Amino acid sequence: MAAADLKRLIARVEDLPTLPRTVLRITERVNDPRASARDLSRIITDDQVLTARLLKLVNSSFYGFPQRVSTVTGAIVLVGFDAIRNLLLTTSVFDLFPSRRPKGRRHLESLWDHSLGCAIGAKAIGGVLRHEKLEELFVAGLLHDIGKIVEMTFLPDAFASVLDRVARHRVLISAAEAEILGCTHAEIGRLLAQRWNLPAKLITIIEHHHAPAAAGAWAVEASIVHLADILARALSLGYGGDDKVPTLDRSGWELLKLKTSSLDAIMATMLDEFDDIGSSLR
Amino acid sequence: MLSSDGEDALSSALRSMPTVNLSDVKPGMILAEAVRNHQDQLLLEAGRRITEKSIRIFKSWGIRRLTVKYGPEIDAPGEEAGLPRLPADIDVGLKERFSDAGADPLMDAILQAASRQLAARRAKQKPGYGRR
Repeated sequence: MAAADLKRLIARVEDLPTLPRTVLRITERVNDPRASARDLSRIITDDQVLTARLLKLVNSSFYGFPQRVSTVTGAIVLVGFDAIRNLLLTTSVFDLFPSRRPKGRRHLESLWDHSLGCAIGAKAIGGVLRHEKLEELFVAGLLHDIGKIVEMTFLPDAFASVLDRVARHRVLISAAEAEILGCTHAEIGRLLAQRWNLPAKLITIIEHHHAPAAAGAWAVEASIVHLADILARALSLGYGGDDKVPTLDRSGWELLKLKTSSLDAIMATMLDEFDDIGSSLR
Repeated sequence: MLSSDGEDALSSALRSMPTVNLSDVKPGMILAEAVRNHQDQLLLEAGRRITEKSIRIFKSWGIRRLTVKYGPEIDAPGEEAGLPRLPADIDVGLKERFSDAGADPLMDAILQAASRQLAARRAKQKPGYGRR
């Protein structure tokens, strides 16, 4: 992208919506060591939509609690403060980008499904690797393609040209973006994540989800999201903007020390959880 | 006895499978050619999954190189376990999505696993069920 175009895009990123007040208030409370589950619950229950989503999610197979969780306080105690913040953050993100065009809405829904597939995959891979922060992996998977939403919403004509190029030349969306926009959704996603002051780890994973070895201290997490993205495409969970499965980054794969024999179990989990969690978060 | 065509096909298939140093062999890889010791005793048959124990046995017999194929396609749940084949429509779409992956053994392992899981999924689905 020419410097002037990139500047214009960054200027538009300044116009991007900020996170909902409830999510910001929750983030503040989560970071406050004196905050109790009841304090947090009070903020969440002020927002009926968030409350409904949270309860649906904690009662889905994602957590698999044996008994029904019927109160927000109960949910917070069970899943923990950080998990609550992450889940509310992610369930809110896609609401921020309403599309007026029917075609845009369809793209957005398909991209949401792809992101959800990737999130579930990242969590499943993390489970096999005994990663300590499964929630974080889920969130990173859900937000990895956030740059595409920016393109859809703020550069609809350029995005239409990108999709057209993908269809005509059967190339990966990243290649078409580089050709038409001069940058990819990974770079645009980084801009948005920075704008939202998301944690550095998340910004880095979003930026490097196609080249995970470049993610420095978070190369393992970026490699997990990279693999999950590929598995979600292989299983056709949603639509990420192209019909191709990119080749797995070899150094990222080696970093994970995963056996190919684990792939069946990971993909089976992805397919099983996709519908159940999807309905909780939509 | 193989016909000469059969022999050609076999040797071409074997050529496409990597011969790797024992130090690079990982548990989970599938043996493409049987491994025998210097007394011609069979240590592990072709098509079997290599385990940590088999690697130890190979080391103790001084085996240096093996021919393997990657991926769990031999004894992972699949047709042997009675799972259905992937319907042609999904199969074509899947292969099309992987058309850029070339002969990458890792991508092939992903393709095979996806194929098995999509077939299992399809078998569980109600008639008329369709994903967006």
